[in-house]
Amino acid sequence: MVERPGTHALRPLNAPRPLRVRTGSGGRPRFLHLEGRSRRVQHILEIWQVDEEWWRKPISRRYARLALDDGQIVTVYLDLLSQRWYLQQG
Amino acid sequence: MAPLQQEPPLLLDVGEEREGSPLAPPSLSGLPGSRRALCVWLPTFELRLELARAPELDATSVALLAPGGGGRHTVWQVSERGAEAGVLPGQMISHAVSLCPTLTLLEPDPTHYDAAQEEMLEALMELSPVVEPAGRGRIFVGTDGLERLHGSPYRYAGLALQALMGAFPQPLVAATRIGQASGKFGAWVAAARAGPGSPVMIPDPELPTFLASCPVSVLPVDPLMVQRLERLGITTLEQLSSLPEPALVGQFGTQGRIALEWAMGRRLDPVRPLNRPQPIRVSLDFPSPAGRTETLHGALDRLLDKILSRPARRDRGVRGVRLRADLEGGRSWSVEVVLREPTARKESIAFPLRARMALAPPPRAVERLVMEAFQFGPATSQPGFFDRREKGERGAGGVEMAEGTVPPSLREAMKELKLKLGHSPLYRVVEVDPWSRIPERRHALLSFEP
Repeated sequence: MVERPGTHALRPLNAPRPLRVRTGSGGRPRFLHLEGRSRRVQHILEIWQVDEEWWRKPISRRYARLALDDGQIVTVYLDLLSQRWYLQQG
Repeated sequence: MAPLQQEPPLLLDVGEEREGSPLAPPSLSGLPGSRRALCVWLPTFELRLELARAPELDATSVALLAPGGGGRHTVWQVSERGAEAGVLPGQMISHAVSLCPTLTLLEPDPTHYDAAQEEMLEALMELSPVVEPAGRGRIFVGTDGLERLHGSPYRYAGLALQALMGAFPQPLVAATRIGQASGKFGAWVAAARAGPGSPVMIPDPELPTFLASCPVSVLPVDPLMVQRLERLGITTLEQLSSLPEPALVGQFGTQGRIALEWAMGRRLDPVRPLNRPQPIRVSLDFPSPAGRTETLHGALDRLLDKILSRPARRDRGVRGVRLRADLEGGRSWSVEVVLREPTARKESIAFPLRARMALAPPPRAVERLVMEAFQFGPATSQPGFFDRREKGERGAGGVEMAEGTVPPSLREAMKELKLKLGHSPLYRVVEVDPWSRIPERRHALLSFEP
């Protein structure tokens, strides 16, 4: 985002980060590649879907809150339009 | 196809000072500004600008929608072909479309019109230092003392058109009406009578005769007075001039006397040089187009903070403030507030702006919000003496600081960092759209420059 004199651009917080995910049956996440190593998904705690702005630039995401094998809780989503995974705080 | 010509209401100051005693002949000197006025008028300025931008619409039925109006959209300006189909300014859209199914409706783009008005002003300022705008597309140029430089009034009119040619396309300039007379009123009436390419110049001795044939609707007085005059059968300025002054004063009070003076060409309103203080402009780019009112109100508050903290304000109060937006998919939107008295209190400026926004909200999501303070004056209140912030600062007494106050030591440190790095490295987390379902839209970082 470019800041011009007198212009105060907002920088979005909590922007999604691309993530490598290995999925199992039904497309559910089984392994995540986080901080340079592979983590196994212990439990899927919650799944929800966000469909927004179909009239503009459609957004369609399937979020999942996951408990990893080391006890860490993370939120990831699958962009249903590009079929890419992202890490993002929910 | 030329747009339907509409005469805008005369915006002259009804309370202009009079020359000498009532009904005395006007003296030719002593007026501030320029007595001889050249009125340059581009009728339906906004619609013509739209047609200049999209020439393919020129031969079609086009209507420009009235700005604001909330959900009740009406026609503002209409092309000649649209008028032939029965579409008129002020009509509801549904009515207009039923009359002319092929009507192309255009949303207004105030930013574009203001920029064009500015260009028109700049172009005419090359001719005279005394230039006064009177609404979009209408500018008065003072011509006193410039006869030897520019020649006859007709040559002057030609120079004005030439100056406009540098800023606008030829078809737009060709529609310009030009009139010259003593005082803005006379010049405006002359311009309204002029045709494209045929200016109307009224020498001083002929002004009363010229005005005599004009309808009373040209008078810059209360429209109710004009209605009453017409109901009484007084339709021309000649008829008005033949009435005795005491009778007019008896019927209409002071307005009656003023109307008589206008009608007889005895009241002169000089062109006053434009006093334009340097505006303070700040803007905010949204990471994604914002449509929620709360988001826009939050952004408005932040922009006001920025304007009020700008050193360029030099402790002056803000009187006139304009909020503009670049909308998603092009076009623009704007609202403007002129306060009764200048103020430096944020809420006193924010409240009327929010009220205007509620009445005429942006029609689409906003990509960029721009706030511009364009009128200033001495702040009438003295908040500095009783400001909570002043009392709350941790001073010698060790009193706790008010919320949101930046300690002087931190302020100094930030200034030094900014000098060293060229930009402020500090940011503040602000709510953008806290209830958004898209997480990255809820909060954002804003550069922090106290």
